[in-house]
Amino acid sequence: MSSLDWTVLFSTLLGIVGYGTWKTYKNKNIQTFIGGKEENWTTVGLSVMATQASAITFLSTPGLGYDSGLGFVQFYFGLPIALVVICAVFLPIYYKLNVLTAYEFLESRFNPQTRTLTAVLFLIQRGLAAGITIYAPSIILSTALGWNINLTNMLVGVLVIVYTVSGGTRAVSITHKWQMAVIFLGMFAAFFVLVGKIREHAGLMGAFDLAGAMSHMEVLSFKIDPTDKYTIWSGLTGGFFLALSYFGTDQSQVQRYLSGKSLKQSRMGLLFNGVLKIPMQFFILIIGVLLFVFYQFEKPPVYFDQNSVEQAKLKGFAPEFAAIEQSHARVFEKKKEQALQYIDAVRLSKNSEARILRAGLRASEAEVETLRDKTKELLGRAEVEVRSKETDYVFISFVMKYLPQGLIGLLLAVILSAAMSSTAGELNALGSTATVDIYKRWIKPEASEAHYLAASKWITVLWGGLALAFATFAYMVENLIEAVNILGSLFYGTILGIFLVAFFFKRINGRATFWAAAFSELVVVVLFMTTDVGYLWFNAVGCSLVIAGAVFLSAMGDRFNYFSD
Amino acid sequence: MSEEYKTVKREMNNESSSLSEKGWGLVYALVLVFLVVLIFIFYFITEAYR
Repeated sequence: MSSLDWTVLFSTLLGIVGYGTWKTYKNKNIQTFIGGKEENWTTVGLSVMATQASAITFLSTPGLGYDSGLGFVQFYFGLPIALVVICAVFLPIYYKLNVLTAYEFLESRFNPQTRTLTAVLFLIQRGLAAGITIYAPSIILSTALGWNINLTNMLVGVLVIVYTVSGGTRAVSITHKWQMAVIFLGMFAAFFVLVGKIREHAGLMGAFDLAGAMSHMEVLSFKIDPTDKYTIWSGLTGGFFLALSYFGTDQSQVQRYLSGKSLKQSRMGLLFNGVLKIPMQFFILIIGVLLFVFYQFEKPPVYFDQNSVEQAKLKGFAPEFAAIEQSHARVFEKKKEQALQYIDAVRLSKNSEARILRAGLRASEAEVETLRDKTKELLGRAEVEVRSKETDYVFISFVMKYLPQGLIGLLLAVILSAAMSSTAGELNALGSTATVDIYKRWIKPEASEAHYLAASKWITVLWGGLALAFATFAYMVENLIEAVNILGSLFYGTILGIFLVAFFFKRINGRATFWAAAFSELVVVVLFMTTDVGYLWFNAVGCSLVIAGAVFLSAMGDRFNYFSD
Repeated sequence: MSEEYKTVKREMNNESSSLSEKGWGLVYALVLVFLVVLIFIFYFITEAYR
């Protein structure tokens, strides 16, 4: 990396952190430190977006577009519907009760026990996820760029702790706004450079024709197949419940939109996301598809995680890899010729010729896939530990090899800004929930504003330290990202169930909901320990059990006079 | 269920038929129409490049 790139990277990161800290360090009030309550809708909207978009979004999503096309965008179809429900039903109640955390509302609606149970479930789940938010991009950046992983973790973690503790929710919101500006700028720059490089061989429409010929332009799938991950049906239903759960009940998001200066500003900020999120994800996937087209003309490595390949070569597998690379070079040249001929055939409307070339292109691509599978098999035989998906390295490889000086620094700033923005949202929420729902509610209910402000800062530092420690030792746990996703699924369903009962089942009281939630969590944990049920199903099981259990216990309440008001 | 919560719910019920809330209903409808339009655009992209 050139000195210009380092300058762009550090001046961007430190500039944003410095600005956020300087604007908010005078914050001396616990209500504004946690609640914010001063932001307009653009800041709210960008802050919500920045919290959701982690570094992995910008590393993995182009890789997904490169690997399988545009279908992943369907995953977001339920999001606008969920945000409308939150704006219409959840937000007005949060505002009128003037709550600082989503769990505070549960005490008004139910009782202190249900509030505490939900807050604790959130703290366990989000506390673990915060470490991964730091670790996941660090492992990719350290592998691809040779950076020291612990230094990368520290860079992200310490900077985030500094401004989150110094300025609280306002600092997080202000930095989010500028981080999103850098992210948009960087992604547009990458897009235009990519289009410029493809133009040497094909125009933008020709590029899309070529991507379409190789099944990379299929956005919608109407298949009714539960094994197919991304279909319009799974996007509308699963995506809806996932978004409702994440945006409506996860404090890291609730805190973002409650920082609006009025109900109107918060609603507009959320709807801004409802409108912009799908086009944004589509745009990132398009970058991935264009990368796929670009690599039809520029020879890509057989396997993008070159570090793992080099390790396997050192273990005595170099001759096997050389043979694969030779075959790959031959197939690439054939495929490049077919691609150029196909673009010409489409441009000149030679339909029958285009159809034949299309079949040839697909056959060549299948040959490439076979070579990639052979590479993976060799890596397995060489016992190389692969810690991330290969496609996670597609975008970062392009950035490092093909972007001009200065832009490399900007794109790395995009990735680290995204890591910092999502970590900041999480630490801010963890600190607020532990302070408001546990410390203030149970440990020290009567104390001064200054005391709670100091407590909130120390608790945020503690969570930051825990997240950093988790990220530092994360390499010791195999399949760590999946482990955290499983843990998340164990709790998310129950939390969503509690909130759905709170908002939509007026007659059910706190005792019925609390015991239904405790039972549901127990069943989910037992199912997890004793069966092979896919972990994503635990979300649906947990949520359904809380609702069914609460309805049942409430009906029983009429008989036993315990579960009814 | 706290008294504060019951009061808030009563207020909200009274406000639900206000002009301002009806205005928000229209905004929500527009967001959902936008989603439908996007899905139609994606459908045409899928068919055009199939």
